[in-house]
Amino acid sequence: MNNPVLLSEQSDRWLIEQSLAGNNGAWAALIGRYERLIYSIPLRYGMSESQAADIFQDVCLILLERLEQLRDHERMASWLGTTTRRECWRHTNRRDRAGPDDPDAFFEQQPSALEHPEVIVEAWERYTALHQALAKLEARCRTLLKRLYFGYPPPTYVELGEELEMPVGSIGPTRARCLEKLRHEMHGENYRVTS
Amino acid sequence: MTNQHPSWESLVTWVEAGAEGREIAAHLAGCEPCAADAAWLAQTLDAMQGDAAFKAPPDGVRQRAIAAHRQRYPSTGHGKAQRTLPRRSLLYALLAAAALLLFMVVVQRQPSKAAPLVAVTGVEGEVTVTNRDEQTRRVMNGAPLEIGDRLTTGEDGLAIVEFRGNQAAVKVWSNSELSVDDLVVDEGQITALDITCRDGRMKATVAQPMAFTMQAYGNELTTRQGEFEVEYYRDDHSTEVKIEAGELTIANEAGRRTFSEGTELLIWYQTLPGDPLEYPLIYGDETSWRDGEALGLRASQ
Ligand SMILES: [Zn+2]
Repeated sequence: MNNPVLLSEQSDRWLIEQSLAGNNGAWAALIGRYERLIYSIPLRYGMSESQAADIFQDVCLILLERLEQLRDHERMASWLGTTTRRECWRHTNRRDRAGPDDPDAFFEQQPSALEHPEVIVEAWERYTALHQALAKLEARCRTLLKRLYFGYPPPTYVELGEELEMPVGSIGPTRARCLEKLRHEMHGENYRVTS
Repeated sequence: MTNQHPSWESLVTWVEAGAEGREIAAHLAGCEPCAADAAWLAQTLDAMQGDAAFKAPPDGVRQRAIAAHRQRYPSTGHGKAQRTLPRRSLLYALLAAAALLLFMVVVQRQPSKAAPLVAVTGVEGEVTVTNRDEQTRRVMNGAPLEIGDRLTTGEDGLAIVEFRGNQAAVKVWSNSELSVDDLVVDEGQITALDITCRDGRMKATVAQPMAFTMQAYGNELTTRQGEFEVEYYRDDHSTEVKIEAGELTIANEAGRRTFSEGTELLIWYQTLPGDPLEYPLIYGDETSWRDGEALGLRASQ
């Protein structure tokens, strides 16, 4: 009996092989896994949403071209981080031909210190681990935590109580329990707690 | 410092309030486990508040990138070779094809009997199957399912229902019930599949293109290829749908709409002001839930 296919749970390597074999669902899952990383790098470098969209498209096309070579790549995220950064530099250079020929020199010359892609990749890995853990929580917990912590300003307990049909007095203890479950789910994920 | 460890809840409150409160701060200075708890909380709440840092690209941008693959590999869409076979496997492939041919001949000669195209794998805990005659049996890994069978998972149960190897699969979490309603096979490939999610939580993966339909709590979910998760909440009769790959069309008594990968939806029945009837409303992504604005499928007059 073959193993069942759950696209989102497959390894990069499996998704790459399936993409090479023409499985569009696998390609979509691969893009889905890394899209926030690719799209956010130009935004973090202060580029516009339309520039970010162009860079996203270019990086996806490069990925499509390189699938064969990337089959055995250990860290897709790092490769994508570096590739996206290089595309950011190419796009900036296209408009401003006076820029240096070398991405490193270019990024060092920028007025504000731009984050190195590896730093962004690490933050993205934390973001991903957090969201994977949230996805494993029961919906009540997930909704409560997202409503409480993901937006600004946070809703009051009275508003939340009405919205989620929970007694106001139970929100405090419930959110603490949900955070405890979240920590349990994240245990062993690559989420670094820095001291 | 006090010797009494603060409760987890009071640590949460302390971190939320921006680490004000000397008593806890004094305790943390001398207690490593509590300090580690507080550090985890601070970093996690921080990460949640900075959540917008990793925005997803707009849907059109994502779809363009997905389409680039379709242009490059146009052979997909007919359920052809999805799997790369090493050369020396060619012989096995030929043998398998011959076996399949034989199998199909046998199946055609016994039209009344459903072909064992569906199998239960990854069984954990209590998993039972009830057939059309209402006979219930416990299932083991590899057990076949027939059209009309209902699979139920217990409190600790988990199972994966596989359709002809890898063409499609449904992961069924605990306290859930799935039925296999209909299945169409053409030249050894599943071309259409109808199932019903009667309770609980499941994730469907349609690895090869087919007409895939899942009935779920008054909604009809259809896709050609992709992956989505469905979960039902008994307390408020809402249905959560997460689309992880491909496109998914949702139809219910209020209308029909197609959503794409990365969309999270909440569907629930709500009485519109001044209206005696209840209508299903779909709320998409958290922003819309927050604003209380329905994404679509408002009741048609
Ligand atoms: Zn302590």
